[in-house]
Amino acid sequence: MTATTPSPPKGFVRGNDRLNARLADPTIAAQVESGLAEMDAEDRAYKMQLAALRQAAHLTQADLAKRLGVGQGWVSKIEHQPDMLLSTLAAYLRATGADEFGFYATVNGRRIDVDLGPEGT
Amino acid sequence: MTAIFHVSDTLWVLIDWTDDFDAMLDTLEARAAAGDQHSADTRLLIDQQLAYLQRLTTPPTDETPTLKRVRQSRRHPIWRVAHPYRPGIAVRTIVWFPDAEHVVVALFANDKAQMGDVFYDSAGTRADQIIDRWLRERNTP
Repeated sequence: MTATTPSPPKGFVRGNDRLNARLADPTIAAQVESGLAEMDAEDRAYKMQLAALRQAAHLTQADLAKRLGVGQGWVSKIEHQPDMLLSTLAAYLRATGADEFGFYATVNGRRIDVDLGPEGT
Repeated sequence: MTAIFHVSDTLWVLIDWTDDFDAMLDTLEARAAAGDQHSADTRLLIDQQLAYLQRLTTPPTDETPTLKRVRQSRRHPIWRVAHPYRPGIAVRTIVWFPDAEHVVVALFANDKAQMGDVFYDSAGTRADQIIDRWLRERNTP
């Protein structure tokens, strides 16, 4: 830390010093880097799922937004949010040109397909 | 930005945590040094989460598997930091971003049994108390 670093409030500890002291240990640093790479991979995979479908259809976010009658920002938001209505997901998928979509659950070894709407399976 | 420092070619966000959290780290390290593997694994996952936070260049806006908003936030919007799956171990750190330069560790859980609805239902209120203390003390000359 530099001399200009503001002190932490009373009752709190500035954690960077302790963290970086730990990271100065090459063994810990390597393990932390490995964990960070895993976290990054999970985060990227998560963000890529819907975007990958769109890209497979050779569509930009703007293209898809036009098909949906929404702004490009809406498409970006949908591609990054962790949760959404099934109807929203179905609309997104339909706009990519997908003509067959749905999800399934395996119950007692038996696969059950769940409809996602008129164009869903 | 005034408080992100350039040290050893690394930009970092300032991470503040409570004395209690610091003492908990002492305990984990002591147990790990005594051969407790679970404590060593927990301590390493905390390092990973803190290193992740330290490298953030802006407060989060989008949720990811690693960083998600806590729906039960009250006055201060809090986020929970997770990690990739590890058998038998789960560490969750609840943090608050007051601005682009700081992150405050508000709560912590490393017991899977603690991490259900009961933990999150009270997380907003408990985090608010820590955050209010951080704000109050920061403004105390």
